Amino acid sequence: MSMTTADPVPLLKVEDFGLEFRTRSGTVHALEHINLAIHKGETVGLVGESGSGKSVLSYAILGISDRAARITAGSALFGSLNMIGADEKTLADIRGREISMIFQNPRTALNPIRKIGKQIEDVLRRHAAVRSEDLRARAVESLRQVNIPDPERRYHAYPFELSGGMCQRVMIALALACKPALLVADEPTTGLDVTTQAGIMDLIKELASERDMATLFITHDLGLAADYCDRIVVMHAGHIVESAPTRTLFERPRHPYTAQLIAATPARDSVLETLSSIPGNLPDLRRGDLPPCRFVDRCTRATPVCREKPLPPIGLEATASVACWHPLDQAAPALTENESAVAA
Amino acid sequence: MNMSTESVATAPSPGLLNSTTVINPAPGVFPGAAPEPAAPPVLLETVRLNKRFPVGKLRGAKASLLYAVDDVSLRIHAGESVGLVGESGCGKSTLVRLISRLIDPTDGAIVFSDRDIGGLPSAGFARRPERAKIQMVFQDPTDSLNPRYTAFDTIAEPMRLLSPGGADDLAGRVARIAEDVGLPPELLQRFPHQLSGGQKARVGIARALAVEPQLLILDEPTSALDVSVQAIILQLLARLRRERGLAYLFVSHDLNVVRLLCDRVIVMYLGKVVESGPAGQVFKHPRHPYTRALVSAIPKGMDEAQGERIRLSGEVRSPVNPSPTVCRFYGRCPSGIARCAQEMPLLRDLGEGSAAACHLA
Repeated sequence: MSMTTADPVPLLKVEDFGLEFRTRSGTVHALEHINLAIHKGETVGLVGESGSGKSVLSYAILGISDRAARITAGSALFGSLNMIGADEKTLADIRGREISMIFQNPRTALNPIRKIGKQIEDVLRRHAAVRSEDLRARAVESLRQVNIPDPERRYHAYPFELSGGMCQRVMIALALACKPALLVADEPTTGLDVTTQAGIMDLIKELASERDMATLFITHDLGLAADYCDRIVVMHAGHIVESAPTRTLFERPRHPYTAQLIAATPARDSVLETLSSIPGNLPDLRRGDLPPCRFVDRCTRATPVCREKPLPPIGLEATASVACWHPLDQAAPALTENESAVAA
Repeated sequence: MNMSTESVATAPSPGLLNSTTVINPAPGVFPGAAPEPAAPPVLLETVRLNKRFPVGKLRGAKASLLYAVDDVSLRIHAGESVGLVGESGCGKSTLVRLISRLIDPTDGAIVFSDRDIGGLPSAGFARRPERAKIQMVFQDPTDSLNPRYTAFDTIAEPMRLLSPGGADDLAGRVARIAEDVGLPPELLQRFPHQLSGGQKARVGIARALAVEPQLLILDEPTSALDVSVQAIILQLLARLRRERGLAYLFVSHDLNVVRLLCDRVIVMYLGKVVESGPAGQVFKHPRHPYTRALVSAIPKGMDEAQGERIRLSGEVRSPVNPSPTVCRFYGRCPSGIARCAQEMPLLRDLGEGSAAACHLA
């Protein structure tokens, strides 16, 4: 599985990271106290509802945040380079070569009026030391690698001539053309049918193990995350609320939000009557008086302490941890009163 | 199967039905497949329905034809919930657009309540009384709601145009339907951007129900929703169907959702129906090799009881001018034999309400 134990130095280390958006209707406290480490060869799933900050976090790591974004705290170390505050030229050299991203919607992420083969050549020309006469062969090779049938012919295709699944494969070919060390995949299979989805996820997984590539896999599909991730990080309203190895998370979810997410995901043996939804919405992140636990208004286990005492954020360790004063399954080590006193 | 003979009498080519297997036998014939013990009448039936699109026409050369929907015969009974699944490009959307009369078929009949509506031009269909009986709930509520209409306007519009009551007591009728779909009355004056995803989904459902349809076509109604509200919308759909006796044609990529909401499942592959049967049966014992691959690709989660995934290799056959004698799945099919390249398998009745189009099923 992962190299976590063998390699103590993570490839990417996000520490105490915070980000807000300045908007006309107020400041949106989008991310707070985010700690996240990804090791070589590891696949980490980032799950949560839309609006929980998954994409905002991944954009920030790549330094492609919206202009309204302001980083309030923390760092994102990739190797020895802090991606936060690095100059644009350095970032541009790293993006596409060492860190690549697969975007949510391939139809809007690809250039609609440029042949897909040419788009892959563009990446190679910018980032890899490839002679111009070899470019074409390398581009065709990239297309073949993502199992696009008849790559010589598809080289000349425009995105509109390809199906959604094929476009997604082209996105993956683009992202992997320079053999990145870290792949950020933002909902790479949303909207695709299950057979295509399985094919694309297998492909990412195979390439990851072949090249020891680390993957940050953003999804709202817990079933899919369970199939492909070594470790899962659960986000809610800009906080990481739980982080655990995949099996542990599904067998013994500690945070009430995680448990409710799992219960809301239709599975093989689900019955409609018992399938639950999560009441309430994400809190308005523009509020100035957000409680320390942002799940408190939707939580059945909440007590006054949840609104008062600041929660110690989830650390960088790869073991299971939860940010909750009343976690489920007390058998596992929970925050003790002593720890909480220290945190307070 | 008496029902079918009756309904086909009004179709333009009644003799055709005998040469094809109808894939939705009357429920009641097979216990367990039916929502009710007495067989409800057939609400909608397609008879050898075809839609072919011309593609790649070059200087006077004869245009090639893309067989989007190829010889599809199916039945939906009153009050029945039918799931339609298959990979993108298999013709699900074309079939749904044919049935909802947004596009015209190349040939074949669409019989709704014993009347062939396949021949009515889609251009004027929006003003016909049948429009009220077949309604759609679209995939993304954000894209399918008019951003300049309030929730009230969105729901009232079809009532004004299509319902017999016209504009009488619109406020009261809109309020009642809003209550029925669980949309708080204070939200009726809001615009789509002021509503959450779940609320927008409710508006889309209320709009479809406003004219009291008998058949609701749901195109991925929950795929744009968060899992946190998905369950509540699915439960709402199940309740509305029960209370109003609606029939559903439910299109979805999420097979776990189809399993929750549907009595029967129809599987399409490259324009053809390859399998149909009671939902439980299709998911537990898929008969067609494509269905087996599809079911095996459902994310397992932590459920280890599920078997190994079947990986499909080989290229998808082209839907342009396909050979009439080669199985569409041949070349990708893990169990293909020589016969599959010489003879197109027809949909065969396999008993217990199931049918599959495979020589080996």
